[in-house]
Amino acid sequence: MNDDKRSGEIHVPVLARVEGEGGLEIRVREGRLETLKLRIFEPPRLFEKLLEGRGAQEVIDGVARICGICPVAYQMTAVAALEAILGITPSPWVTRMRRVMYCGEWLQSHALHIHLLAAPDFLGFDSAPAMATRYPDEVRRGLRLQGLGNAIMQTFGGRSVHPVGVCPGGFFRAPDAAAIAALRARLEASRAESLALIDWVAGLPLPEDDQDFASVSLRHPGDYPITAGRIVSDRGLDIPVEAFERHVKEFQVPHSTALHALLDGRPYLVGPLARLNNNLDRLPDALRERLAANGIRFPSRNMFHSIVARAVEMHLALDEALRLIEDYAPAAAPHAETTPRAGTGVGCTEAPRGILWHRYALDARGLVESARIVPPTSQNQARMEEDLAAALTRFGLDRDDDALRLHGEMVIRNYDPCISCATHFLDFRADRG
Amino acid sequence: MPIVDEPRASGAVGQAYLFGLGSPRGPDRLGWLAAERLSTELAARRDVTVDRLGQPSDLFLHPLTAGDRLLLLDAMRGQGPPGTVMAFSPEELPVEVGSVSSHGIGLAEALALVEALGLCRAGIRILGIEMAPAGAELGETAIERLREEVRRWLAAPAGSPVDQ
Repeated sequence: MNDDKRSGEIHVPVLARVEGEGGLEIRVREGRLETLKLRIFEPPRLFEKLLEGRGAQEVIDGVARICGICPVAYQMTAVAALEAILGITPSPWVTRMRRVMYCGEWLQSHALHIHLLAAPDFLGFDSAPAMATRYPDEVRRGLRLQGLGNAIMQTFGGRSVHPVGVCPGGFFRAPDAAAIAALRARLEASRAESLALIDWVAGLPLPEDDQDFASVSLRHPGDYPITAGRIVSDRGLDIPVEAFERHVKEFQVPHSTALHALLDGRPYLVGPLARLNNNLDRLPDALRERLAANGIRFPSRNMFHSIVARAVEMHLALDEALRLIEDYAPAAAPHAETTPRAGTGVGCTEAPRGILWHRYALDARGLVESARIVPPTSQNQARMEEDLAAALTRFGLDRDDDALRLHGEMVIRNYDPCISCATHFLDFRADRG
Repeated sequence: MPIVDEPRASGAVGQAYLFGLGSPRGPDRLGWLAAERLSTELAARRDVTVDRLGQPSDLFLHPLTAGDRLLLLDAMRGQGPPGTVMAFSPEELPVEVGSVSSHGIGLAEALALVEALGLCRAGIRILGIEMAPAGAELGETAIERLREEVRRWLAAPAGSPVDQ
């Protein structure tokens, strides 16, 4: 056997710097990738079943517990689905403030991923603390932006972890003007930092690895999509969120406790890169020009440009929050009154990691008869395996196990997978036998 | 006895940061309750900053420097009867505290970043308060024990064993 025709297996027992527990297993035969499995072995969490028999408010507060990083995404998606059943159209004030709260989550989630999970890979460090010794100012900047996102969520939800402020029809209470004024001052003071972050991230030594994939995201008539829109792809898909189940099929694979999903029979990408690819024209002109000045062209086929998309979305989220609270006044009625009724409703919003889709059926008492939750990481799993196969082959299957393992982990981390959300990850094994 | 309102005798030039970790409700609010109680008693101390943090990473919102010291108050579980107060250095934290999610920055990660960034070299200490299975109240015994620990922490020379 020569090195060009290597055979064997590589196993990554537990993936580092991803949320949840999983592993990667590859088998190489005569220099070709024979099998690749992204193994997810975190126990199923059965959230949908736990929600049965619960009322609307319990659903909103309960789904926030699915993820400590994107609780707002779960709450906003659930409340959209529930309000569709209850026949509620949120007031313009509620619509604006929900978008502000969601911007907080994008800021904190993206800041964490960029600085603690992804950037160490690109700069050759094995951890964020190791990177912090060489890039202290950048890490502290990232942590300040992350804290700013937490502050936004806390303002509307009482706390940044598993917030509790969202209810059918709006919020339990409106933040007072002084709290919003203080938030506004902090946002203003952070604009330069989030702009500088875009430049820093665009200057990272990102691998070149163009691939062919379908970008799927929401698309809103006027705004960069966060809380609402139609589901679109760069391959011509354009459907209302109610039609999601007709196009996306979830299925189980033996090596994963998280469902895989295919769009019309093919893997697809959701998340910041897909969002930016599909919504470049929804960025403010100045931000689009800033991006162009950095020399990275979007739409991009390079999955590693996801980190740039995250930085762009952080600045967008910061500016959106500022814009939406510019003339803030507390609403006299921060939520509409609701009456339980039977029906089925769906909601779909852009979680930091991509589209998150919920469907609920309520009985006449307003209690959940059935629930279905399709998180972004489940949707990205098939795409991740497709990407891994292409990326590891291009990287060189003849490389040693450690190099392959590290590259595989970098590819996976680039998706910012949230396995805890999806199980409802990395043990690496390579078989070269 | 409330904490004596006098400047630190240690001669340390940095700020002392006392942060309660947790949330406004539930058993996890012990750190916040403790910080609220102690902030009143420390209100006159300009060399002490007291705050309640929703997540450990929020400590980076404060202008921490190398010369500062850091005391964290947090709820703990499985270390004794409810209200038990235990003091830890970062190295002494129970192992399970270190195995936290990579998405959130847990206490162990936040302290690793503090170390890597060269912050709070004057000392880091963590006070754990055992939570009750239901509800969260700070008994007078626990409060007095917290006062003792805070008093010792404030009086100790920077970088002394009690402060590390």
